[in-house]
Amino acid sequence: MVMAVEALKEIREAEEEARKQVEEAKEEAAEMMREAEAELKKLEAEASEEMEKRAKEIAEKYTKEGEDEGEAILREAKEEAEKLRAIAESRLENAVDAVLIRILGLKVK
Amino acid sequence: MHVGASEIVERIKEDAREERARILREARAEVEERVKNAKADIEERKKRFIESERQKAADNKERIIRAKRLDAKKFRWDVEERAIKRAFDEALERIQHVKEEGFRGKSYSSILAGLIKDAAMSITAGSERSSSSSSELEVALSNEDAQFVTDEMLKNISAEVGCDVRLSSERIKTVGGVIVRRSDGRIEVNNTFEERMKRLYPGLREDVVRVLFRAREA
Repeated sequence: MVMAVEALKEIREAEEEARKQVEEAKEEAAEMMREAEAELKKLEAEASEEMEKRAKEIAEKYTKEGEDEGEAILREAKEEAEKLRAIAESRLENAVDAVLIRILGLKVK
Repeated sequence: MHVGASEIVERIKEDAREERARILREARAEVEERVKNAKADIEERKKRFIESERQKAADNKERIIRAKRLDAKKFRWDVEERAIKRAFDEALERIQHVKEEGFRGKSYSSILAGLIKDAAMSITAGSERSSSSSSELEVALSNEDAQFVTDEMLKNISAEVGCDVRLSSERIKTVGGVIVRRSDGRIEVNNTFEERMKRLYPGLREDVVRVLFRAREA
């Protein structure tokens, strides 16, 4: 009888120990998940920071390209305009004559 | 310990170890899967975001270039417009010189005579079948230009156009040229230079553009 009681006690202790082990395992698993969530939040923040930095770099790069190309276009246009102005200047007398012929009512030969 | 109880205790301990191992294994797998999925999602969002930012930046670049191209066109347009305006302004300024020196071998008097005759012919052609007042035309001009018109000149023009052309007592304010009108005032041809320039401007502008910018280099 005494032996049976002793055996039952040991079985109960083993069951209690087993329950604790399972609970600890569950707690350990939950902690793993919390750590993973924290790691993901960190990754998310790093990604946001990286995206912001990349967006700024891209915007600056394209803006600079646009301004450089635009300046080249303007430079060329100014040179062409200057050539055009010189050509027009050299032909001004002919243009004035063309106007005078018409407003003075002269016949064009 | 009773042999049967000992086995039971061992069994309980073994089950507990297995359960613990299972719980931790499954938790690790779940964590691994969630991290893997989250990382893939972050990478995909990063890729889409960067592409969208690149597109926005490229659009902005094109906008900058388009604006500069427009400025470039404006440079050319400004040069052209200034040169065209200068040709017209100088032509009007040159009138004074024409009055003194003539133009292309023609005296200013003969130029005025041509303008009077053209105007008179236009009026008589338009009023051949109308009233008798069409046989009288008046020539109005500025004080300065009046000295270039002689009675003999008007007589010759009258003979050529077949009606009486005489000098009006009216003096007009103009750079030069004439206004010819029927004596009843119903028909008038304004051949002052300012008016002719206005009237002929579209064609004249084309001529000036051709001479200034399209003529072959000498």
